[in-house]
Amino acid sequence: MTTSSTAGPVSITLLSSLAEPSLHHTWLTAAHPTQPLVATCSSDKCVRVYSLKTSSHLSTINGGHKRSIRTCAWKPGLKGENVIATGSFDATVGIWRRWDNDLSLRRSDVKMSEEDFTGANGNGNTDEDDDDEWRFAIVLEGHESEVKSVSWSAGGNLLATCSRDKSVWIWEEMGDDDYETVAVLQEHEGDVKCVSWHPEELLLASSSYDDDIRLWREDVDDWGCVSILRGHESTVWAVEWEGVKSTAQGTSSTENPGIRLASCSDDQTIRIWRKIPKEKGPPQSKLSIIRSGSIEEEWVEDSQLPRAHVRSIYSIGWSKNTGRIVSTGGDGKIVVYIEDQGSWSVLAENDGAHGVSEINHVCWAHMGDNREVIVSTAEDGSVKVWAI
Amino acid sequence: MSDETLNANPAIRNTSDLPSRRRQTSPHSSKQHALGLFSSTVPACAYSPDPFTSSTSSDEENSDDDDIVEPIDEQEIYDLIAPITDPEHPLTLGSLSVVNLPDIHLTPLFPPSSSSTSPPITVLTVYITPTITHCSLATVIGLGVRVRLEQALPSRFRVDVRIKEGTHSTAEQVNKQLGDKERVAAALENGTLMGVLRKMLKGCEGT
Amino acid sequence: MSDVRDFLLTIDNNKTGAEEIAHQTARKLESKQTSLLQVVQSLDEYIHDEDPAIRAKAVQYLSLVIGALPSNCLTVQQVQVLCEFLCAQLENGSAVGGLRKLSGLRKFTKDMAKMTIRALFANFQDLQIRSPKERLPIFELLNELMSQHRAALKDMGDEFVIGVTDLVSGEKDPRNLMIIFSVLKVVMVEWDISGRAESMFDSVFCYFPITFRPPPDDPYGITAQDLKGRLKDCIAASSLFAPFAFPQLIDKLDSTSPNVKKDVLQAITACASSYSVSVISNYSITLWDSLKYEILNVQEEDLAEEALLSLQAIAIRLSDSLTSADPKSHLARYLRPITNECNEQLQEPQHKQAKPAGQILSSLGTASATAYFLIIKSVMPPLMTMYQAADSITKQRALLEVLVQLFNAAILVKTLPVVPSSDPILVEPLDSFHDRLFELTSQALMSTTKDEVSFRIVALTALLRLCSLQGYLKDNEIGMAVQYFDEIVLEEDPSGRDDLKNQAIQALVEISKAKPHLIMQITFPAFMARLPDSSPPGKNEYLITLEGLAQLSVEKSISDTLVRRLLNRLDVVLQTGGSPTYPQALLSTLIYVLTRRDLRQDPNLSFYHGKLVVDLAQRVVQGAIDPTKSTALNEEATLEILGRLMNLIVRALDDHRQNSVALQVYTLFTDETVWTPVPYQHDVPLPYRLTMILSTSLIASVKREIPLAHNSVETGITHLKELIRLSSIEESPSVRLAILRQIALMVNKILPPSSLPTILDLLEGLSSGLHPTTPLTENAIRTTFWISKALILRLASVSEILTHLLNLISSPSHGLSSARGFALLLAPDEILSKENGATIRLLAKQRVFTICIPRLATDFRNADPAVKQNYLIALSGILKYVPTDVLMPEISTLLPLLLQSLDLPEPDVKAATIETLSVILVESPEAVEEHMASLVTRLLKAADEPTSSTGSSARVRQSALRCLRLAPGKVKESKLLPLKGKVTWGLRACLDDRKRGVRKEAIECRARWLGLDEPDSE
Repeated sequence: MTTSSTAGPVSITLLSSLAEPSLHHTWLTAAHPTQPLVATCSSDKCVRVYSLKTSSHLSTINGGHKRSIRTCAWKPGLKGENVIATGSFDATVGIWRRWDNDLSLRRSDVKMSEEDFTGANGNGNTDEDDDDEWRFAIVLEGHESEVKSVSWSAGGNLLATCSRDKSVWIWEEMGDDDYETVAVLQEHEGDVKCVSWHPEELLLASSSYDDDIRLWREDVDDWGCVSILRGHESTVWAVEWEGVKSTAQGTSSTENPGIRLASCSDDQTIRIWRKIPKEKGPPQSKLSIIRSGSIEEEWVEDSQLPRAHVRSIYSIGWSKNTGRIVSTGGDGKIVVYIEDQGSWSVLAENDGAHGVSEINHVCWAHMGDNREVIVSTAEDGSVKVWAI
Repeated sequence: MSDETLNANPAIRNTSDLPSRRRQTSPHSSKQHALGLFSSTVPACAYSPDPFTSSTSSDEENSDDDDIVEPIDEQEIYDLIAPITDPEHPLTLGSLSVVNLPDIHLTPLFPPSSSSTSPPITVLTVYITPTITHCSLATVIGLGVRVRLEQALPSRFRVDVRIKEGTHSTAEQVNKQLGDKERVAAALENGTLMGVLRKMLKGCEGT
Repeated sequence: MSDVRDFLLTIDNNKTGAEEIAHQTARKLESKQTSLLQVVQSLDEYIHDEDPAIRAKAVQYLSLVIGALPSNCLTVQQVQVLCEFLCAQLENGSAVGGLRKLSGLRKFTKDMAKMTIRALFANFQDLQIRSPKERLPIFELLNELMSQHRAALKDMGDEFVIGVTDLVSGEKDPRNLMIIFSVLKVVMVEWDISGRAESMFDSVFCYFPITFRPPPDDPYGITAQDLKGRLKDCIAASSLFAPFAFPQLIDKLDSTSPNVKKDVLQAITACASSYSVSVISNYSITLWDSLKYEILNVQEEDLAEEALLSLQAIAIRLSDSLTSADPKSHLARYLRPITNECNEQLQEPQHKQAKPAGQILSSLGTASATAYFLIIKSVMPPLMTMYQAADSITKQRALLEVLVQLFNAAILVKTLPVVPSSDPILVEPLDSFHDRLFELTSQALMSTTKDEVSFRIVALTALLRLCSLQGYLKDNEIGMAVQYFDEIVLEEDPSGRDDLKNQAIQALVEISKAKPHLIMQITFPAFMARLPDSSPPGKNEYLITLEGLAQLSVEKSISDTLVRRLLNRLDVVLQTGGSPTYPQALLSTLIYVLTRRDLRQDPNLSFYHGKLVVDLAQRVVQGAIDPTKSTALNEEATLEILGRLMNLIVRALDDHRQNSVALQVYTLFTDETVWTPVPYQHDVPLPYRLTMILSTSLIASVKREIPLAHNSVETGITHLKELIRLSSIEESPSVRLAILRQIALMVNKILPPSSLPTILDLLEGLSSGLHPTTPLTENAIRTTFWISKALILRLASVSEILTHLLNLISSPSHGLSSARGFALLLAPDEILSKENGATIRLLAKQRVFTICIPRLATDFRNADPAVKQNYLIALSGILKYVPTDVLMPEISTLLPLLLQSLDLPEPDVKAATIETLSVILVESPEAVEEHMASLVTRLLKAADEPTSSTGSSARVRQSALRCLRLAPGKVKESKLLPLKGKVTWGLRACLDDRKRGVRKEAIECRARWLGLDEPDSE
């Protein structure tokens, strides 16, 4: 459902800046799947949880990692409790758990905000209100070097992680705080930058420093690469799946060829990839470069978004509701694109969104009253919320 | 780091031949300058202005100096990185001609539009020339230059450090690494590497 | 004989008492009341006691008795008996003391010495089981015997050598080692150790290298260096050690520790200087092969130097008693591989090894005249051809640098003491290259492209060295060099080439010492010709010429001529008019030249008095009276310079002449009819009033005892009142300053103590607002503070005056200017100074500080907001000039005030406050610790770009950053880490400051804070 674009240029307007920015580089802000919450991870080894409503700082995760926290992700499909996975340069992944006693309306909210969280030694809240504290449930060790991205599967029981050691790991939650490695995928030839689960199927996309994107599926009981998406001429910083709702209605539910994949790269291009539906019938004749016997899929570059960036593009967000794509990067610009009958155009641009600073991450988030906003995270530690 | 020095015998340039900011006496240098050698004939206390008059007015020769903007130029960038010491020799990158003034380029990222009030985002590209073609330390030297510039320059600069084409066998991979901001940030948190870099940057203190 | 029993009873608790008993026994022996035999027998029962302590004390008693006896009182037999007795008792320690005393007696014979030594060797086979304190007396006894009875010990030959080596082996205690090393050295030098060379060597080399580190509270003060020195002497003691020493030393040269390598090199140098020529010659080549690496691939600067010293020592040794420079001599054989290697390295002059090769050649070149001769002979020819073939400036420069080093050697060799008999008379080897070298260096200097600065500097140095090499260049050649240097100073475009110009001037100064006549004939006229007749508009080219002339006038005759020439030039320039800066420069040059000599003994003093003081003063007056005759001299700035010149000369005059000056300070040597002095006149035009500047300089320069015109107290006071009147109506700042200084001189130096009460009343009247609040109150405030300054520097009790000033601060109308006045009180003043005869009390600063600070602190706290900042201004004015040790005790009261002063907009106050804070940060960082957070915030604000109008100037921003940079390294890191994020983040804005100087400070400051180690960095 595309909103009718009003006449005249659409502008990205600043709603608020999240209070008490970190005094260090901030890498990424993950939006909570349902609630108006976000978690920003920073090089001061902390993750700060903010409320989008009050744009104030609610709680802090720290003390679990010895180096910068590069990435984090909220576990979807949870009730009464929140779980965040954090990936850090110290090569470990932390799982954090916190009781969800209605985070946003909290009596100690007021006390919380005036306390100064930014001081490097401030370890956030004092001990007495223990139950509000993020507990360090478990640490997932295995990677040999910096962890670059983590992603929960749609159902929430699989966690994908990737690292500079060129490997993608898939973990399965067996029981409370008990995870098992189900796959270690080492076919990338360089530092793996991003992993992202398909919104419905058990299909994982990963992008890497070796300029490739790979798709992984479980074949019987063994995970393998089903497709390599080549085309980018430099590091592919991020991949993001299209939302389920926004595809054309009336396609068969099981296999939804319509869901596409977007990727952004250091070559300053954003590309959309589409799967060629496989006709039933003769077994594949071509010599398959993927391990023989595994199901092979063919993905092709559907289109390239108009070029709006002049430096490396670090992050993109594909809105589940509006189907719009937002991108950002080293040139400090935030750009929103809109698709009209298969052709993409720039809907709005905002350069100097964070002054002169590079912007490391951007994503869509909802404010609870089904209004959708953009959250941008900049190198200078500021996190801003925009409306469009 | 290989223990036998790779290039035991680099050509060394004399420091006074390295490009430096000519000491143009600023148009109205303060009284002390004008007398040169004979400034010693005037006792120091003769220069302090009369304490009674409110100092802002009598300080006029300073205040208009204050308004002249001295932009960051290639020479200033050169002065920042030339004193970095080479990891292999007790010599500086300047005297080894690893960094050279003509290889430093400053270009605005966006065409200068009057609209944006904040100072322009500028791309700084520095090409470094390793002393020998297969020098394994090229990445470390590149990293040292990049770290020094990122710590010393305002955040509106985008620092691109590259190996000059045709001067290094694996220039392409080295350039890709040096261009990956995330890998650079991670490298800075690696204790041993930071130790090496700190030693290289020691030379810059107090220059 | 109960003495021994009494001794045994008292020795434990009353040492001196026991000694007294022993002395009694000695006196009895002397007076023959008792006999030695009886004393020995009295010991008998105690000597054989089973308790060793008793035995030891008994022997100690005997030793003390012997010690107390006069040296000639015992007969030979008695000494013999005692010696045998003590040798038998050796196994208990105190016998050694006795023997030591015995050996001091004249009657102690050679045989006794031998017997003692043999007893020592026999009794102390494994000495190391005893404690160091017990071993020490044994070594002292050995040392004593060595110095008293060396001949006897020598007779023992090998037996002694073996015994000593065994006795001392395994010793570790530094005090004992010091004695052992000196003993062994003597043995190695004087004994025939040919049979035992290796074991002797090993007995000392096992200690190499010494890694001793003295304990913190070391009572004996023995340093590692002392031990190393003594060990080195042993190693170098005998040529017989060479076959063992050199191989092992060379082997240790590969050690990774620089200290070990340094000890090795110093040992080799010591050996090279003491071993025999033939031995050294055998090893010279092997030593060169192992040492050259240290120099050519220099890792550590000081190791290269030590290695050079070793090579040089070898060369010096091999040059000893050398009859000729024949190629087959040891020296020649040693130098050949070295010169070949250096020549080879010089093939690639621009590479790293070229410079050290030059250093080797020049250091060996100064070893001896023969070495120099051989080196020049073998190095110059290839060096010349290489220079000819060198295809790049860098190569030529490197070769020129080697030439300079060789020339240095040439000059140094000339200074070596010539031993007429042994050294062959050698012709100067450089002579055969004479023309070529002169031409080469001149061309390098003058015909290379102008901006090859570093190359031309080396060329200039080379040419200068040739000029300084005695008798090498002929006068006309040196003259040509002088012309080249003149041309560089005068002709070349100044920008960017000042280090070449300075070198050229220094070269001329050096040549003026040896050949002053050349400078007089060539440089002087060239420079004078460059001096313009009238002052050129704009560019001050003449300044470089004047600077050159001033620096050249070191030599007496030159500077006398210069002063005369400058004076005629000044006359000419004054007539032609034009901008005053040129005449001012001429006067400044005169001051520069005259301050460099003792004017009092200068024969031309009266000439200067007449020409520079009287004449010029009269010309100023003529210019003041008749504007058409006014010259540059009448300009304010020129008058200030002229005043300094006159002050300098008058101070050197004798009393008689000072008297005449004192009487004419206002008439300025002009008669009454034409000129009326300024005081007591009304509405006098400015040119007249400007002459007061000269009057002030003259008054200041006259000795305190010399009376001025107004010699009585009354006329003095009336004159003071007149000056006060003049000062309160004077508008021109420099004239007003001149008058105020005259007032200060009157109050501080001239008026007698009896007039002080009247002065205090005057002071009271001035500032208590008697005058209606007319606009002139600021002048009244100024005069008040100048009088107070004069009094504070003169009187002992000043609290009354200071309290009076402090009360002014709170007044709304002139509180601010009073506050600023406090900066004047302690500021050093050019006129009111010790040289000008003013009384400057040492404790004045201390007094002002201790009286004002507490008062300012309390007044500040309960002052109303409008005037609050006045107190901070006054405070910063005082602190500016107070020495740190006075400041420190009051830090706790000062800090809060200083921090708040940082918020004041006034740049001067901010600058002064930051200066004081920086001092406190360096001197006592702990005091600042708990204020760190607020200090950092305020300094960051002060360093911030002047967005608002009250922003600080570049100077203040820079000093704020410099102050912030001091904290890391001074203040405890635990206090700084919480602020690290805030500082490194806050400084990012300063990195974009529009002034380059501020940016540079910001970068340094940020790097320092970033360097603070992360607490949990693994």
